Amino acid sequence: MSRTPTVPRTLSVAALALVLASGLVACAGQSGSTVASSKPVYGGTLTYLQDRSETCLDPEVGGDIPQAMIGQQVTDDLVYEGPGGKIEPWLAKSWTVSPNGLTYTFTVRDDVKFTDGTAFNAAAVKTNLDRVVDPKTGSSTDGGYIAPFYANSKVLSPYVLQVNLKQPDTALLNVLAQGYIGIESPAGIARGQEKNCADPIGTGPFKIQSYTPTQQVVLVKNKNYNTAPPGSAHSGPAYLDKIIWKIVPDGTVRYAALTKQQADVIYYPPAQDWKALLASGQKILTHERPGSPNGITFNVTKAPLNDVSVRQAIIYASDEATNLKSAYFGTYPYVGSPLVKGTPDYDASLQNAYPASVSKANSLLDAAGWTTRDAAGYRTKNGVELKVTIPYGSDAGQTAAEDLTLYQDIQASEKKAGINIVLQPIGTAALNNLYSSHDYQTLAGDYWITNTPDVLRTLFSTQALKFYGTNGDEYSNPTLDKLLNDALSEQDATKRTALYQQAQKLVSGAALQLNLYPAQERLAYNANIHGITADYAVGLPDFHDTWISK
Amino acid sequence: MTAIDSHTSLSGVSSRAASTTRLLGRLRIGPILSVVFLLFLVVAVVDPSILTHYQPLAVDPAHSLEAPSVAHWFGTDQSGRDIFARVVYGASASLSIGVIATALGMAVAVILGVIGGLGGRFVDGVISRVLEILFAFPALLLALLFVTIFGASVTSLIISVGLGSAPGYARMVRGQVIAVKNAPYVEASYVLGHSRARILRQTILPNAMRPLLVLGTLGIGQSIVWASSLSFLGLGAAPPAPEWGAMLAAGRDFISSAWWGEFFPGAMIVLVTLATTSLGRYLARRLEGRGSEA
Repeated sequence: MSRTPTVPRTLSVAALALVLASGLVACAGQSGSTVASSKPVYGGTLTYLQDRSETCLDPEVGGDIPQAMIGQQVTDDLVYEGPGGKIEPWLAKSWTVSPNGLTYTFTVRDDVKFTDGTAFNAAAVKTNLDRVVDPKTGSSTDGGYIAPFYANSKVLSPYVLQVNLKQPDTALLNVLAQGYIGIESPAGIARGQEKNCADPIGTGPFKIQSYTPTQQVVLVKNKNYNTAPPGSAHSGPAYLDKIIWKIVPDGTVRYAALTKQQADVIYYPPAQDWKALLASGQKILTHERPGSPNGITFNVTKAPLNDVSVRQAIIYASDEATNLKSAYFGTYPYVGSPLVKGTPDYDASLQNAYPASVSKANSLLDAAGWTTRDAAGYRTKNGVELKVTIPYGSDAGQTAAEDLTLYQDIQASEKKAGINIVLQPIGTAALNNLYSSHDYQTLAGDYWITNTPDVLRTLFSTQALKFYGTNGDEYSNPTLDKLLNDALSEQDATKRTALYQQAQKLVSGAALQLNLYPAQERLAYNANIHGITADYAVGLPDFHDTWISK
Repeated sequence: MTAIDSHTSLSGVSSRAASTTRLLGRLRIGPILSVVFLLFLVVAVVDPSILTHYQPLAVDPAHSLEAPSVAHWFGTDQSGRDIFARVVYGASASLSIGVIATALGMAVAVILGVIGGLGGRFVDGVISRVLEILFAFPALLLALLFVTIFGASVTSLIISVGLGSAPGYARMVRGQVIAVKNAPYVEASYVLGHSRARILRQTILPNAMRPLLVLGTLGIGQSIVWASSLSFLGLGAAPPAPEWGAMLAAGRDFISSAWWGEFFPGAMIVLVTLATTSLGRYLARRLEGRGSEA
């Protein structure tokens, strides 16, 4: 699903310090291992407000951000991604990769138990891998990454697993480091999808105590936790006793709850409230998520977007950087490239591929035959108005107020080039229909979080179009397909980078998306909360090191 | 002109003279202010450019969310658009929704009410039962139902609010028609051999409609509130159209840092409702006075 974000591998603490438009420095929290000044204390209940939830908490089913956020708390991954994209041991103590890239052999830890008391071993990992590639699981994220390449797994001994691939997949280890594919208890999975959705069981620092769909999840700490990853500030069980994880779709309401001390941590504080938040002593953590940036996807099969000149003209005319700065109060950098900085093999030269220029847009449209104008001043060709509709979710929590402002500002910019952008508010059900039927000209708020440049295959390849439904542009180009395929098989890092950069140039030139800003983990929290972190792989909140001071 | 008609108008003249004197004595500032405010809105509808030189859709991202000032009387919104201009230009959408929806509701109501009131026992029974069923739902809920059927747009907003308010009016019309149809002057009209159509047009309808006029004035304010509510819920005008309810919805996200985005469209809805209500009650008093003397 196009809106499904995937995991990214964020390297560093990308956005620790953000300069706000106001000139204020938004300080940030820590990523990875930073800790506050005083000594951590055990105990306490943390109230966390999240913007939305999925009916299923298990990230292996579907695989959307809210599921992975829960997954990050209740499961551990096979491998860990640290700063700079380095893959380190986690549940796997060590591994080897065969020279042809087709066989991975993992030796996993022998001292770990799931929170249901069953033992973690190689067979458990096999169960999870077999499960995500099984179409019956409906694992669009994990399955989309792994299924095309996965042949089978063999348990060589209780703690040694051999994973065989049909085709080399240089993104495999990165993918396995994402919270989207934490290792779950086979006994838990055996209870059936319905039970496992309400209570996925892992080896993580927390386990689920209760779940009220669309309202809240209560997590309690795993007292036996002994598998903290290398980047953790402490080993052993979490400091917190309990997390009340509530779903509050409205950003203004989340913000109010934080300021009234009804919540300790909130997801995605509204950008217009940052200044007030920081002024009153609260803190904001931002963490850039790698992958494909948030933007507006063009469906290249629908007129007038089937003409590359029109797509390019829209990007030239939109003046995204200025509009973004205003709508988001300077809290987001503009991303003009198909990949977010921090994604491996990112091509920095594409950031300014489409500098804002109405005259460039005008000459492209003139050359494409959109030379006449209608009464409203919009361009026409053979009597048809140059009109592009942007549908967006109008239900609570679906479209951030800042995004709606941004779209309206872009609409005004496009008008200068004679392009009529129509904003169409629609409810969630209708929107989902639109997405699944591909009966749209554009997708707003489209992004994909993942820690590999293979996201280009997920979003733009013919394979993704035909089999996974994740290619929202409906773009199909054999040259790109071959580049991406070759890159994924290429074991030589330098050659791989060259292939991926070629692919990025091709995607950028085809103007498949109006790119806007990077996906970010954004958490605001009160001053007595410490040790809030985001994971390096894909920027999911991690509460293992979090503690509350009096 | 029939004897009956003469009688009515005579009585009208005499009561008007009497009530004018009385009204002058107790005339209050409310109705006058209401008329002044509504006149202002009429100007806003007819030619909004008289009131402001800003364009309601002209964005200026560099000046977003600016507080009210001499340059921007009502401040600017999140895209830097002038809120005063949006409120003024929005009057057209909001008022036309109010007026047209009320008129539509009335038209449907008159048809149903007259058929019910004049139809036989069976027809009246059917219409009354249907109205009772519709009454089981709050008008706003009915309107929501219609918006869901027709899709979100200004046109469907008008139809929805109109149809949503129709049952209330229809019941009233039916009651009035029944009350009037047995009045002596209607019987007299029958005796004089007038056709049914003429009796309906010249005798029953004018007499039955009078309370509806008052109700309609009150209804305009109510319709604007309903339409704004639906727009607020995202079921009406699409952004960036300057519709008051939609402006309220958009401003809500910025209420903690920019109160003006929420206050001014909200104030307009309150004021127009107050003005029409105040006027409606004034009309009601006048008509009541006339009625009691007739």
